[in-house]
Amino acid sequence: MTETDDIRLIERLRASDRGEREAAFAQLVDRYSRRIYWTVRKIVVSHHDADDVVQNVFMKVWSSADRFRGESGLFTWLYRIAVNESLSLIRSRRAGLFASLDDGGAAFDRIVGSEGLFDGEAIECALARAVARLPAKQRAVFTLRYWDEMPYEQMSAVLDTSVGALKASYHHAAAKVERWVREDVSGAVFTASEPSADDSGEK
Amino acid sequence: MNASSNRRDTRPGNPYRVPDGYFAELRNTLRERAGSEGAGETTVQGRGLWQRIRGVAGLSAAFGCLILFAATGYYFTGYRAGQREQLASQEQTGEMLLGYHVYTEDIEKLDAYASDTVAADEDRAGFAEAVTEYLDTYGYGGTDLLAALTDTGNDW
Repeated sequence: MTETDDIRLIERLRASDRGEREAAFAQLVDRYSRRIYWTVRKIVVSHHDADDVVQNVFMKVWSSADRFRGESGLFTWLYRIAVNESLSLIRSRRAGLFASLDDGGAAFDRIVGSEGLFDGEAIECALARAVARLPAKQRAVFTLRYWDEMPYEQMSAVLDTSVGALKASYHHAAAKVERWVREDVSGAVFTASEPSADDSGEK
Repeated sequence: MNASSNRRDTRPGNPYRVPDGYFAELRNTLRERAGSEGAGETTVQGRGLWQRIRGVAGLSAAFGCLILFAATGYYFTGYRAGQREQLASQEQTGEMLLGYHVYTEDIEKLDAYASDTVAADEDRAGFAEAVTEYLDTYGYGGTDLLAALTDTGNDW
């Protein structure tokens, strides 16, 4: 899965031949749908919401492949659409499920309890719960950095935010998440903070 | 092993799950949606002028019908009724004026007639008195008074 493959894929998505376009689209879905889904799911929590977002992401790519300028990679473009869609969904739900920015994880418990698509150890549950308590954009920053281990430069392109601001945002998010995890699971050994600037994930 | 790799080894896993066969279903759903949207685009590009303007045309026709109904309704219930009322009012006023005119005229005529009668009676009485006085003064010796008065040869 190289950048050249992505360029070829986007060229096929723009092809005039309908069969060629559909084949390229299927390949794109096979290549990226899982990664996009898991990122979105960790941001929006609900499987049904994540499913809606992922479908919207790929349909937007399908309908606007002609407008892809190639300034960033295909994967970065996909991520940008996915994160923006996820943030829009969270903000639109704020009046309902996410009425408060931090409701102590009640919205998370409600979603997880109703869908039942969640299992894991206590610390995993506590971590997911703590992430769900973060404000929308901080949740996206934490997810991209902690779970997906995305370099800050790529995160900057995805979130259209400076690297410095992203580092600060992640630092605050990690501190909150660590505190909430320790509150949920007494005696848990968990750290999300980055040890030093040299080991901050830039490759 | 540095601190970062230690952190990765001990980090909690992904606690979320998906329904069985979800990603295969997602793939099929996306392919179907792409196929149907592509077909939709072709239809949009290939549709004729009438298909493109029929929405606007329908809306305009509906608006025109609305205006026609409103105008017709106003003509029969508003304008015509107003005209009838105005005509009735004019007729009533005319009759009243005519009645007043006739009445006034009649009264004036009667007054005039009455005053003429009195004057004529007075004139006649005065004339008769004058004639009688003349005849009494000058006399015509048995001559018929009417003949004397109608005799054009007499210069009296």
